[in-house]
Amino acid sequence: MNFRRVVTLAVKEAREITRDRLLFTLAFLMPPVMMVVIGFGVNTDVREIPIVILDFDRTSSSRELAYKFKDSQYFDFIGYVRHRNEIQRLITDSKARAAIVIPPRFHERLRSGRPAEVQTIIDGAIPARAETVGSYVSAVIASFSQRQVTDHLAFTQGIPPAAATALASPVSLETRFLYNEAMTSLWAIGPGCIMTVLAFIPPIIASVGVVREKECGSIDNVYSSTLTRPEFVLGKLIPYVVISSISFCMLFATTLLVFQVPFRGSPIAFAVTGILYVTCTTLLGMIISFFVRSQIAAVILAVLVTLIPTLQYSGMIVPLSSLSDAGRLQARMLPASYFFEAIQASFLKGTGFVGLASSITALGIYALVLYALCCLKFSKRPKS
Amino acid sequence: MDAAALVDRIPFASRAGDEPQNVVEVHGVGKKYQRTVALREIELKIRRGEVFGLIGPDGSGKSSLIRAMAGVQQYDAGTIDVFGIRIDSQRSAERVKPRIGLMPQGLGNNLYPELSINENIDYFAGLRLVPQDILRERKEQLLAMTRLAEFRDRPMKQLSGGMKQKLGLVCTLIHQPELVLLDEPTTGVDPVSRREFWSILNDQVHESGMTAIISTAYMDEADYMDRLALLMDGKIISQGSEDTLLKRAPGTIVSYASKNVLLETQRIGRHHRQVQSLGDLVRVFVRDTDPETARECLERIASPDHGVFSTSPPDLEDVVAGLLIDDSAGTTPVTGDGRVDHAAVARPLTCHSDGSASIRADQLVRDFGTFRAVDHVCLEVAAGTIFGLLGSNGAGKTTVIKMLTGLLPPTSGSGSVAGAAIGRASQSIRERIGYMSQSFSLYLDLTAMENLEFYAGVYGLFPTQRSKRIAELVEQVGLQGHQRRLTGDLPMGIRQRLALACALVHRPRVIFLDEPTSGVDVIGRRQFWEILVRLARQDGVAILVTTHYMAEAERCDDLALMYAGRVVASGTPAKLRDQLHRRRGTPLAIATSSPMRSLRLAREHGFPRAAILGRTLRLLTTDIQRDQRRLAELFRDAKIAVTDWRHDDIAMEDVFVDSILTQEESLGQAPGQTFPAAERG
Repeated sequence: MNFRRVVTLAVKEAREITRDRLLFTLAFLMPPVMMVVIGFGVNTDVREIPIVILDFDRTSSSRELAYKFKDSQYFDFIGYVRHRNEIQRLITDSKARAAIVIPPRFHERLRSGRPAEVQTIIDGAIPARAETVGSYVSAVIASFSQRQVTDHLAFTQGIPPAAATALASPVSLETRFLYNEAMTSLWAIGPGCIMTVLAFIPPIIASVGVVREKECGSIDNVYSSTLTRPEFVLGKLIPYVVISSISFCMLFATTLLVFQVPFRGSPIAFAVTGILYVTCTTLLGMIISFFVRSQIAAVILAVLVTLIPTLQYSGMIVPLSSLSDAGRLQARMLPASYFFEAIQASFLKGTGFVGLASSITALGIYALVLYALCCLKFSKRPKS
Repeated sequence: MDAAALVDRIPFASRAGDEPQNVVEVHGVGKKYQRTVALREIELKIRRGEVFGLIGPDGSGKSSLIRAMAGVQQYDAGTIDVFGIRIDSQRSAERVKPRIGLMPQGLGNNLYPELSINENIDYFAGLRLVPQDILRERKEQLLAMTRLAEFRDRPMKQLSGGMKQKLGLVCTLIHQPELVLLDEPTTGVDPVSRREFWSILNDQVHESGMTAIISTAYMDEADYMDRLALLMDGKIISQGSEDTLLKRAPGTIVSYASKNVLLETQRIGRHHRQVQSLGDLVRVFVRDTDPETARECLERIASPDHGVFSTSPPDLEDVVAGLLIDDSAGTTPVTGDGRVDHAAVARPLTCHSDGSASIRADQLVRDFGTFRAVDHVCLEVAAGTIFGLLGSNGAGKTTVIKMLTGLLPPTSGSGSVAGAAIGRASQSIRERIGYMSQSFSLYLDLTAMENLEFYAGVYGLFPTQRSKRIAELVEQVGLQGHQRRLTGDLPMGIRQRLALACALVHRPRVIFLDEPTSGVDVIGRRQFWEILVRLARQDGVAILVTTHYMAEAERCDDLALMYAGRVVASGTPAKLRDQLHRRRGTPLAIATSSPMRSLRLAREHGFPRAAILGRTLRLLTTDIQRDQRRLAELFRDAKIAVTDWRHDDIAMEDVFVDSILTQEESLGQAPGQTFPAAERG
């Protein structure tokens, strides 16, 4: 390994990237832009669900139920409708996502101690959201029922409301979410975006960096020179890892400042993991570049090979523990799964070097194996 | 000439005795890319200290061979030894790489556009671990020699073609390799830069005793080579020094003026296989005869009203064409099977000319940003004539054609094509013209016939007309027997004729051909030109053709030489030669024992435009007696032996070179340094 040759190659590469407007944009502007787009785009919080109410009863009880929905931060009460057809039309037009139908004689049934029925109509186009909306509706109804029971108890037994509550629901559940107390989805998604963006941007720029030389023929300078294969891979790798590390810092800052996600771990430990992760993804890009001849093929392959499996198997969307054994094995073959563990541990749980040791080791080994593969796969005397 | 040149070198000495005399030995080498065979049974021995040339058209296997020898690409069969090391694995290839330099194909393609000259050189030197102090010294020396020193901080993307190519050479030589392999270093470069490149290269080879292997598509560069191999379809068809190659097909070239060139070539063609029409001249290669017998021989068969016979020895292109024809003897002649429509030919040549030109450009200008690609170009092409637009890559030829065909609006200026003004009536222009672009727009996965049918459909021919017209075209361009073959499988020469047929499908009165013959071998080029001549003379079509082959310039009726966006000379070939003769005199070719030193001497003593052409010093003189005496004295004082003085005819390249130099002088620039780089639009 001759370091003058490595430095020569790295310096040349860095000059080209910083002077080529397209590459520069791709390397430095794309990551933060993608980050913001993905981060704000994948907001899975369900709040302010537009809701309408069809009230056939028009009594104090039915109005009380309606107020429950109007008060909730989860629902955005649009108004009353007069006819069932209107509900259909509003949901079809996406003006409302849910409707509550209060039948006639609702008040009367409640007062007489008979069960009253309330119907809800929910837009089922997106099942996951529909489920959430359904559970919110149930929760509101449940709390309304409970209120009815305690009111009734207090009234008939002549006891104070607090005692009536204790009587009506002897066990009350108190839920506290650790790490993400407010259950803000951006807190979970934001740091994940660092992983997603750094899964495909470094491979794209690294593979384009190599394939560009193949396309125009300057790779022949490398083929015909005395630069060795490990030197070539290292010389190409360094500038791209440096660039991606800068991207990493920018994304880290975006998460903290734009997404306002609290960071509780050790920034240095997290940065070490991040740099190892971008080294891995950059090396993935270099391997891709050895298989293709055109820049466009390099870009497409880099996205296909890195982005989709990363989304699927990193643990960000589906937790690793709920994957099948085969799925988990596949996930473990990607650097993203190790980095995602580190992200979760650092951001929300606040672990330092010790907690990240396994991620760091795994990514380190991963990078070394990829580097060896690159050196073996790169040929200075190809078939064509 | 060979012996004289070798005295000038320092060969065969410096190396230790255990090294073989041959720097490269190639034995039985073959190479395949999927369907196509790139190399077959190549045998070569390249000696230390020689300049060895590989000459052949595009796709003949030159690059594959060079890359295999440089150890940057595998080959399938045979053996290659470089410096006595068998190149058969990545490991063994690495062993020779410190001692070789490779300049791959494509002008400036191996350089880095964003980096300056200085940074490019430093990169190559860094990869080769050239020590800093040696690098500094060597860089200065090479930059001075290539006259690039003052531009050292300029990004490579802003250099002209000639400068890119010189920078490529500097980068290849920076580590003082013992063997350099240069893949088409002069393709697409203007003739002035080409001459300079060869001077620098010869100087280097001569001074350092290195060996050079160079490929080229230009036959006339054989002059610069000690030995050469001619490649065709992956085979070496002949090799040796230029002199020995010339002896393979001896004979005499007879040329004379004729009233009806087309009929005359047909007539002579029945007796001699190599007949060409050059404007109003007929040029015949009479094989195996001395000039006297050749004259007598032609006297018997030429039409009575022929002009004066002039004889000359055949050049390499004639010989190669001759060898190729011998090789394929017995196979079908491809074009013009001898049948001539006498009535059609007898019509006066200017039958369509009613005073207005078919193509006219008036002060055409085209800017791309701040770069002026075409600068006030004027030209006129009459019906029934062939107009040649000559120039190097980036001179603006393609841009002119694009404006005339309505593909690109001009920045200013006007023009008309087939009676319609350009810019405004591009649709009506397109219906009246045929356009064959640089990279023939054929569908390679269709058969020849399917391509013709497609274009017939595109141009709106009715199905009933279609088959009749296609049959005519097949006959006209000689595609018989190839109709059912996939276009991708056709040889370049045939493919190019198919492209022409596609451009002719709607019987255009005007056709534009953009570098139609690059990548086609000698025979293919000559056959193509015969078709063009018939199209012009028989059918009265106006043809505008661009080329960078000087030899093709002679075949045009009218010429315009373009350089850096301007037309630097125009007129008929004869008129251009005549003008130069009156202005600068005749060329004097001097073979000396030390071409480079004699060049320097001549330049310092009143011949600033002297150049090395091949291994002879070439300069123009108005007073031969006086200048020959002066030079003889100069060389005697400098102890340079002169082996031959020869008065040459003015070649088209002399005209071009002189026009470029005049142009540059008037702009106050050093030759070959014109800015900015001409990028393709």
